[in-house]
Amino acid sequence: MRMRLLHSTGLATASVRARPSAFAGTFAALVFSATVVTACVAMAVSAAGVPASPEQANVSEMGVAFSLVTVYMSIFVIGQVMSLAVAQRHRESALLRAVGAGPWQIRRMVATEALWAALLALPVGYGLGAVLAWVWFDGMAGEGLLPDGMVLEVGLPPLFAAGGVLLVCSQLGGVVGAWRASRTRPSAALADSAVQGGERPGRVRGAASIVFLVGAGALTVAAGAGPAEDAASVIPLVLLAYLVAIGLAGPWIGRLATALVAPLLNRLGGVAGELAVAGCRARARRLSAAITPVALVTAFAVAKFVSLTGAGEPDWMEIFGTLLYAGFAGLVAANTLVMLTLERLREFSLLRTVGADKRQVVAVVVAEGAVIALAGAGSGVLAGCAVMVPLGEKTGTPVSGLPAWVWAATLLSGAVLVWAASCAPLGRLLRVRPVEGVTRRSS
Amino acid sequence: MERVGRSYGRGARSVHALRELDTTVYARSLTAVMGPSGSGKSTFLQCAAGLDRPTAGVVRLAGREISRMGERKLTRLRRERIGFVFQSFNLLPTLTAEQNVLLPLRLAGRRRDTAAARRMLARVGLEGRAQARPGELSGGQQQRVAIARALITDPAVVFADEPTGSLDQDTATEVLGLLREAVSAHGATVVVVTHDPAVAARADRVLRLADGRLVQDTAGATPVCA
Repeated sequence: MRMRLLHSTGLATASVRARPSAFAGTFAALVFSATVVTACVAMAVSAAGVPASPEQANVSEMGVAFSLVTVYMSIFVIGQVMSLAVAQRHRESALLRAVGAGPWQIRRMVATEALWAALLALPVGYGLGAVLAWVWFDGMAGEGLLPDGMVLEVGLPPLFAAGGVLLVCSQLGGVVGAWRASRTRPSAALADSAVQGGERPGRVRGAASIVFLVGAGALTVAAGAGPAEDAASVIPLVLLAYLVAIGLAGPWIGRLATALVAPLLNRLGGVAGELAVAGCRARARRLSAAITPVALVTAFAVAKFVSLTGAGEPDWMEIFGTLLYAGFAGLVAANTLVMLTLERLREFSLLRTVGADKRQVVAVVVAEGAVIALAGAGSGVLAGCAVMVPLGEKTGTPVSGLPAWVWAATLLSGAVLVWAASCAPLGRLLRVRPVEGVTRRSS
Repeated sequence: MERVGRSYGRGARSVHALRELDTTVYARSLTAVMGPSGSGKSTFLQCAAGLDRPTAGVVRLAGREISRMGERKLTRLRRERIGFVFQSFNLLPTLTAEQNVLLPLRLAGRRRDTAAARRMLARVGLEGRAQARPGELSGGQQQRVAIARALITDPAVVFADEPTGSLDQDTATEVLGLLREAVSAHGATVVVVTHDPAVAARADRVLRLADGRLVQDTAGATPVCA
């Protein structure tokens, strides 16, 4: 048994070495999740220990609500990132299977790796979360929003909460990813000519997407029928249900966005536009991985902006909440986009040996970014509206209260986020000599 | 190439991949570069093709010194005057065969000349496969597309790094035949780095490298003016 365990750890270590960027991406997402969960739970627990008063009830409720939402967001985010990280290692796991590793060994490798990532991310995220909680606490104390005698205690409960979320979600995400990886034929995955992330999305995925879409709609209707306070607290959950539907429908959304933008890119984008269109068409799954986090950040930004405008004079708590959700989702989106660009060293190097200059490679990434931004920010805005149009009215914050420039700014910042994050690793990729990049297997 | 040297690292620990190599590759010929692993074959090819800069000496291609060219000029040179065929991963998996062949022209900002691409694909024996993606083609077919792409710009030189390295013998012979034909029938200049004696046997000239030096320079079995 001991030998087996060592053997399995050896595979996991080798796999991390083979593709450090995928591991780093998972690690970063886990750190972000641990940070927000720690801060929110610390706030909720600290407020619970104070004698009852109107302020105490306020802060305690806020803490609990934020904790729930960040936990759900973390589940969503970790699941996404883990399955992307496993998918990026498609080739390595195919190779392992070709030399005789069984599907269970692959699953075990992924599980070991996820465990290590979670164990390493937890202390970092916990530390950052404690800092975040202090900033939050100080801000609220400064505004006089805290009950008398409340002290911030980070302590153990946030550690357990964050640890639980990280371990459970990363293992579950790994299981789903590894299951998918163990289903593909090794020969197909090993071929040089295979399109990374080009597998056709299945029927199960489509059906699941529709189920979530219907579920989110039903939740919206139910919340609309109930009391206004309940509606406000249910908004983030309904949003997440829509986002899961978007995540599942990602390949189709990507295809739709590509079809919309293709004529424009083909006519005006030159060779870069053409390459981007071909890339987006062929890599539906990878496109989906990029679209979902962008939709997440946009949807939460829209929902939060709507509730901010309705609140009249927005208070510190609302602003902090907006920053927390949008910041978390934004970091996760940037992280995913960086992972997706880093994967493409070989492709870009090949383009350069054929005679593409650096500008043309950047242009391809920018053109693809336009498709991702349209699909991600577009579906995010739709999800935000699907929730806020019926429920905003109810909670006293109608969507129509949002001025046009806010819509424009949301879409634009979505696009800027996509472009900045997708292009950020290009400097590193373009410094590699093209011949070396073509032969190098990973980054 | 005049007294070309390429070393990696500095001082006592530096590795000399090429030492004072002098040679000229003649136009309209097939030159094979052979040698054991680590003899500097690939470095030779990369320096000659402007993919790497030598640390000493001068490389000229069609009369222009490329060893001191800036990255931008080198990129244009690659696009317009040089064709490449690698051992594997030659094609962008997301593009069709035809789009792959047209890529150098498109990168140079030229019009999409589908007719030219089809003619070139027909020349390498791939009529009717223009719309196939690399994933739908066999290894040999993919190398054929790569050769078509390398030839479409009518380059001064085509450099091939182990082009038959991952093919079975029959397919390798066919692919080699295409390179041979490009030289004999269409007047191309081809430099092939290879392990394969069969490739050397059909070359006009064989350069043998060992330890970064040129140790042998022989005319091949095929006469130069075939």
